[in-house]
This record gives sequence, structure tokens and C-alpha cells, in this order.
Amino acid sequence: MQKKFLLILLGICMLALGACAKPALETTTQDAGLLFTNAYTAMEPQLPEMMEIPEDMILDYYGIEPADYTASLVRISVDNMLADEIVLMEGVDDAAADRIEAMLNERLQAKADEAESYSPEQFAIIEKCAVVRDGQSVALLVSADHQSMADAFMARS
Amino acid sequence: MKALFRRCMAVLLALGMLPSLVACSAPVSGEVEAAAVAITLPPSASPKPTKAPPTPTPTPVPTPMPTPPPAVGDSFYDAFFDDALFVGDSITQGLQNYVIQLRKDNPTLLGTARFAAAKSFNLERARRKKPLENSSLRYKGKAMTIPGIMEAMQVNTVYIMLGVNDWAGAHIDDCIENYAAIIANIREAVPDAVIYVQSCTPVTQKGEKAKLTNEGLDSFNVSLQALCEQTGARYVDISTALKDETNCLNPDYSSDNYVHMSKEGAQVWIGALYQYAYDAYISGAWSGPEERN
Repeated sequence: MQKKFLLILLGICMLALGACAKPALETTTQDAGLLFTNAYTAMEPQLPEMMEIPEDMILDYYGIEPADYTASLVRISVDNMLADEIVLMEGVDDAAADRIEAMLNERLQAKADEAESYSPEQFAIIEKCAVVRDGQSVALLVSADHQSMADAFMARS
Repeated sequence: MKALFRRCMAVLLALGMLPSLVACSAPVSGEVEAAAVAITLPPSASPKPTKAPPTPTPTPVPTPMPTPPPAVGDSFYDAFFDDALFVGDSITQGLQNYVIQLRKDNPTLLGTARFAAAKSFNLERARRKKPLENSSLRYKGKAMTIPGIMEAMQVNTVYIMLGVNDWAGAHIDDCIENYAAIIANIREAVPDAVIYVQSCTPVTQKGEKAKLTNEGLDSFNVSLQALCEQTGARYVDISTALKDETNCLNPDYSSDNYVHMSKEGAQVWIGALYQYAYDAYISGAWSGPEERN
């Protein structure tokens, strides 16, 4: 009888501990989106006028599947003659982040190929830029001030 | 006695855990707010909205287009551009950017038309049956031909604007031959393709060069019109609306006082497209939103 009573008490304790735990994915998604917004706010002063690429164009534009990311922030220069482009993405897992990184590297190479003969000035900017990876977060940062963009991304909070 | 004491302590402990059990299951108000602001979920993860009961669709009534046509067209004419693909070079990229911005407030602008454009893309590259890796059109991150993108997007309507990067006004015959090959390639891959060939846009007076003159571009556009009549493609005049009294691109419509369009220029371009849709409706060539163009 005493053992049964103690087992019931143990069950109640386990239930209480479980209710206090937050769902990990919800925290990650919530944090990633907010962190991207904050990081971009820090980048904005160094960028020309930018525009958002809508969610439904990301697959067409970059070849990145919606199921591969939980948060995204995508901006390109309004003036299409400028190379400036910011893509921040949170992969659902490491494998997805690998795929995102690969597609963003392809995008960067395509920009460089496009600019090499067309605009040497923009090509000079693009060839100094790179895709940055931080865990499951991946960033394409194309800007004359690439280093401060990378710093803002890595310091996102 | 000791056993009784232990039992009492255990009961008291359990009773103490219950309030925290209840508290932990309720969200904190700040967390909910942060979730509403920060979460960006891919479309597939978004909760599906509850469908409203269907309402009867009103019969569309054509709106007579004023002169000049509005920059943002009537939704009746938006449908003319449904499932269309606009392809071109950096000039078309500028139009694409303007349309993306305008669609925030006017989602039906140019219907469901999509874009594929690349800087330095030209007629010579466009006629290739296999894309070059650099300076090709790209779709989903991959270099593709115009027919390849049409097949991938499952569209059969395409609007093409190319020629400025080929110095078309100075090499009319070669450029017309390339255009004919492009039209033939599209028809081979997409037999029921509806092909619209947009005129080359003009260049500003200041931007004219030896191989890039408005007189040359005008001559090219005349040849382009003839090619369309021979091949069954449809010619769309964008050039005239963009010119000033000197027969050059109006500088107010140019972002670089050369060949690229400003927001005002893109606005005029869209207006010319809507004028074309209006003319198609008035002539009976298009019967309205119910019919695919």
C-alpha cells in the first residue's frame, strides 16, 4: 500500500516536471526569426534601398525548398544594377542547412558570373563576399561592407 | 508515528507541486507576443485558414481604359497576364523588381505572371539549346533555357524582351535570325506556346552610342514586327510610350540616363502592357478573364 502511494506521488512529480518543459522547436523558430530581424536592422544603415523577396518566390529564386527552413529573411537591392543581397535562413536541421548553404553558394557564384562581364565594379564587391554558416543558420551577405554584415549576423541577439 | 509523519510530508509535497503543474502549462503573455512578431514559418507549416462559405462570383465588367492607360491596371485586365513568363535581360530585371514591390499592395498586378531575367542575357545566349552556366536565365537556382523554364513552370505564355545587349540596331539581320531561332525552339518544346515579342525599349539621347541608336532600334523593331507576322508570334509595342519628343527614352523614365527604367519608366511599361490587353479585348482577340490568352 505504501509502495503504491509512493509510486503515485512519483508519477505526479514527473508530470509536473514535464509540464514545465518548453517545446524546443517552438523556441528555436521564434528565436531565429527575431534574431534575423535584429541582425538585419543592424545591417540596414550600410545597405542601399532594399526590397523583400516574398516567401512564395524563394523557391523560384534560390531553389531552396520551404520544408528545409523554419525562418527566413530575404532582401535584394531595389536597384537591380547593385549586387547587394541579404539572405538569412534557419535550417530545420544540419542536413537542411547543408542544402541551403549549397544553394546560396550557387546563387553567389551566379551573381559573380553575371557581373563579371557586365559590371566590373559590382563584380569586385561580389568576389569578396561569402556564405556564412553558424550552426543551422546560414547567411548570404553581398555588400561592399561584407565584414560588418557578417559581424552583425554572428552577433545576432 | 514516523511512518505517519512520512506520509503526511509526502502528501504535502504532492499538494505543493500541483500549483506549479497548472502554472507551467499556461503561456506567458510576453512569449505569445514575441511569437506573433518573430516567427516566420514556411508556407507549408502555416495553419490553414478556415474557408469562408463560397460567394457568387460577379460577372466581370470591362473597364474602359483611360488615355493614357493607368500604371496599375484594372483587375479585369490583370487576368490577361495570368500564367505568363516574362524573360529578358537587366531591363526586365528592373521591371520585375518594380512589380514585386507593387504587388505588396496590389497582389493581382499583371495577374500571376512570373519573371526570369539575367544581366547581359542576350539573343545569342537565348537561342542556345543548352544554357551556359554564366549569364543564363535561372530557375530554382539552375541555369535553364527559355523553353526549359516554361516547361518547369508549366506555362505556355511567354513575353520576351531582348536585343539591347546584342546591339540589335546595328546587327539587325543577325538578331532577327537569332529571334527566329528562339521562337522555333520554344515552339518545339512547347507546341501550344503563345509568344509575345516586346519591342526593344529606347535609349536616352545622352546614352546613344555608335552601335546603339534609337534610329537603329526603331529599324530593328520594324523587322521584329515583320518576324512576328511570319511566325505567328505577337508583337507588343513598349517603345513608343517611353519616348519623348526627340524620339529617345524620356530621361524621366530612366534610372541611369541610359537604357534602364526608373519606377516611372516601369510604370509606363506596365501601362503599355495593359493597353495591349485592352486592345486585345476590344478587338475580340481576348474574350476576358475566363479565357486563357
